[in-house]
Amino acid sequence: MGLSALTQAERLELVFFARVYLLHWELPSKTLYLSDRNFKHDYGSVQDYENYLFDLSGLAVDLARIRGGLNHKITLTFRNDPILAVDHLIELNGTYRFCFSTVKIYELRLVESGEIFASDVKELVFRGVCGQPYGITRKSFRVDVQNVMLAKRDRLPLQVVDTAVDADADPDDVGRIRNTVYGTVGHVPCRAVAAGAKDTLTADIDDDDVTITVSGETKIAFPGTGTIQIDDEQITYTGFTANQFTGCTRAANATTAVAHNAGAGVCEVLSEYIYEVAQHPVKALDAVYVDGVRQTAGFTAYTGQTGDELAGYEDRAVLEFTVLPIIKKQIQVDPVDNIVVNETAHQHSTSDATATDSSGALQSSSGVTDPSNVVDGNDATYGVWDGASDEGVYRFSNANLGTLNYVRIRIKFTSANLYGVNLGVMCNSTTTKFTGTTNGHGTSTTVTLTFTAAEGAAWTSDFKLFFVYDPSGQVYRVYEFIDCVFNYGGGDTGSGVASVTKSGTVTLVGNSSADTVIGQLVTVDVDGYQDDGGGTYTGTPAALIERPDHVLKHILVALLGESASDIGASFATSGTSYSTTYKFGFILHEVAREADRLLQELAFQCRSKFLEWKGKFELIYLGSAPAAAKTFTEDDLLDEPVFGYTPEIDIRNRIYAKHSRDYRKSGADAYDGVASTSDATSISNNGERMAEIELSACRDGAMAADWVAWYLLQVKNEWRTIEAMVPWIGKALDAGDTFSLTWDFFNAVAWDPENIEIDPMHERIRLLGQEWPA
Amino acid sequence: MGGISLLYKNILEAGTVTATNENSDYPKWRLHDRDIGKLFKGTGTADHTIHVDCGAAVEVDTLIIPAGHNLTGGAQLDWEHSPDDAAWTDMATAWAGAAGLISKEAGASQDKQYWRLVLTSLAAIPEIPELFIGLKLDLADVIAWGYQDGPQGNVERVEALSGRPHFLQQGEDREFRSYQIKIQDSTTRDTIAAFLAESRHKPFYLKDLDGTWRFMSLVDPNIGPFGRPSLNRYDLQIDMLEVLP
Repeated sequence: MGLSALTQAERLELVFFARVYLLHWELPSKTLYLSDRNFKHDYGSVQDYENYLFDLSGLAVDLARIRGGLNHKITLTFRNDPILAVDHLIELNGTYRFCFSTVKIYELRLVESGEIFASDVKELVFRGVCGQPYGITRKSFRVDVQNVMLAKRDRLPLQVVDTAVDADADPDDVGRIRNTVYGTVGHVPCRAVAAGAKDTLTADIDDDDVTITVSGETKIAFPGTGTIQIDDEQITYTGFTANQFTGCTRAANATTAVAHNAGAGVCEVLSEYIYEVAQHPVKALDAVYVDGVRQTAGFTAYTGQTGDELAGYEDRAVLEFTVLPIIKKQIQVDPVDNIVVNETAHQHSTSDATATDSSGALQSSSGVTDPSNVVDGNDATYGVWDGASDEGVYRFSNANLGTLNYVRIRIKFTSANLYGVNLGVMCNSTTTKFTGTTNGHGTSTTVTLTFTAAEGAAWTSDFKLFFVYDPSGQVYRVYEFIDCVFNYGGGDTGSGVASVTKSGTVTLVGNSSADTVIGQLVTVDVDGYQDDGGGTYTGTPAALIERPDHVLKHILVALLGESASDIGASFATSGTSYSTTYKFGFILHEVAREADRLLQELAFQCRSKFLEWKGKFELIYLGSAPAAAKTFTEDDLLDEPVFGYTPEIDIRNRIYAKHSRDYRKSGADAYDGVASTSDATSISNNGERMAEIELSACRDGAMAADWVAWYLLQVKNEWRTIEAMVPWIGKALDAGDTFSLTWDFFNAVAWDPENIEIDPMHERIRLLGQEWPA
Repeated sequence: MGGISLLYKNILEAGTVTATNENSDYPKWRLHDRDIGKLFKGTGTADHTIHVDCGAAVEVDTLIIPAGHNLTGGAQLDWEHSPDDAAWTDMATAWAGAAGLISKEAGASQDKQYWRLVLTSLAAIPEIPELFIGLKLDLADVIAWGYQDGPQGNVERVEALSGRPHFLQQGEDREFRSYQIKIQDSTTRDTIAAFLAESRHKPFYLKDLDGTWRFMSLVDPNIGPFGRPSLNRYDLQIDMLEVLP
């Protein structure tokens, strides 16, 4: 087989080959095809590459394991030679702006000069965005090319509340970043994009005052005439100066005139008040709160999806209040009809208590006649043993009260003659108690049988009366089941479950001028971005976008305008690892406001790393160490490898990972959950070293628990490091691969390449790696 | 010892060049930029004429088009000159293009102001890396000795710790030539001086001992000097390295 049949990857194994770097410089409306030589790439069709490239340096890839930066920038040095219609390449910058243009660098490996390929097999090794040219001379100039995300650092489509868009926006919200929401997020603070003027009373007013003075500090001017609202009362006015309403008509719009206190809010009454939930359509809007109090009426929620948009606020998720969002400042009581109390082992400190039940239901009977007479409340009627059966049985049930101290059962009973007879009571089919031989009674008598606490231990709800077998065939009568007395408590220990039902009406009384306040903070529970009808991001049409790989893909494609074809295969691979455990829920600008930092931070929070690799975006889940993709031997090493250890200062052995961000709070209190773990061995070896991590995109305890265990593994110990210089076969490593080394020591280590630095001039590759934590 | 020839001046560089068809991405100045890898391209397969107005009569005897062109498949080349830009005379009989370097040496030089190359019967949109037209300098009698060295590689060799070598070919092999020239009179001295003055910073064409034209450059551009013109008797060694596309 001729060498020309080898693939580009296979050619890396050769000890010789020629390589050429081919540069596609995508200027606005013009693509230049350049190289460090004039080269005709013939692969069926022909593309000419022209010699304008002096040098490319810094062709490195930073694969740092945790919180790694994106790829380095590379520096291209161009010949400032004539090109097209200009005498110097730099002059093209006037026609086709270099800055922010895209450069793609391909590598082609040749086994013979003038090789003609059957297809286009050149390999994309770098894709980046140009900065401004510099170092410009007649001979040359340089251009730094940065990775796409570095160049797009400030390209996240974050917008602030702007009166140019929302003229009536609340001044308190103007300038705040509008929400971009992913996943399920509770209490998303809304922005008041259509709000009226607001002020406060400077003095108390009576219920008939027609001139009302306010502080004049409103940031939106009150109109000359209109309607205001103070507490629950609406008031029309015919004049407004800087701080005074005149010509007031109290109790407007069917409200009631009342006195108001100084400091009460004075708000302009509008036909609608609009609160923006997110600057984009969302999947769903759930509970709405005003100052933390859930609202059930008075507003309409619009997701912003097609068919669910508010006119004038299309493509936005908004809440429309037709009246001011007001809450009553009072204790919020939500009566619950049924209260279930689950008791565990407990110790009662009260005296004994008893419960008497005389309404035991007769469940069944056998061997007796007229059993219903036993529970008919008539002491004169009776049930009687038929004398033919082995025993006469009455079976009762009663409410189960759990473990009791004792149970006492009383019955009215007689035997018809003097023969000895035993009346027994069986508790829960296990414990039997007899009346003792009665020797007969001419008249009925009350018999009491008492079970002890031990005997009652198995009591559930079932007991029976029975007459033991008497060969004489005499008739025994039970006139009445009187009651059961259950004794419990009194310092004994017991356990059980009981249901308690509470009923009644809660009535709130009292009133004050401060009871009614105008809501300041409107929040809502949101399901954020949803997939499109084709399931572009999740595979499921209209699904909530919350799995990490789906979220990052959506940010890259929908927010940053990258092509879906530039999303690497590792996204899908990592997605299977995220499964259902890992899902995000966050407001975007609360995680990061720069694109590259956002993507890195999100990757970090799903135990992954995000990078650009060979022109594509990759998201690599850091699970267990993959098998080494390449084992280097002494034949491969161009220099002696150098080993080391990660810095001891980075060791952490007690990790607290805060999660479930509460956007109503700030600072250290802004999280509702924490997952923690520690490593006793590391603490013993290194002393306790604590790390407090904020998982600002995580709202799930199970996810945080998994994450914190992973993070502890990364930082609880020092790990070995390696620096090795290899020839071009080092390029066989791919993002997410590990390599191993056949050496005098450290042979079994799986090395995670953290930096691959390519010297394209000499085709040497410097590998910096760290032991894969395990 | 046989002779060599040098073609180091291109009338296109000093003249005014026009082309009837020109792809603006591959403009006509590439016909004379001494970069044999950058192509001039025409548009379409209709006849193309590359026209040069030298401003005054210039003596010419040689035309070279280096490899990399596509004037094949029946394409006809017609090299003509004119004293007045009206009446044109063939410099050589029109001929069919073939792959590789095209050279045409006229039997006798012509001293004309206007020159043109007419391309007809084109099979493809014409691509020409360079059009070199000028008067060659023959050095048949002044070569003391010389040799055609073998090709020189441009290969980097690195060795692993074990001694296993790896080879990285940075470019194609390049021919190397070394000739010693006897200078025994002022005419030769001035001729060589003119060549060196032009070629210290530009590649040029060398017609080798075997008659092959190669695109070469001086290995040492600081060759010379000619500090003792009164004697005019000394030898000069010229080392040349092939220039690749």
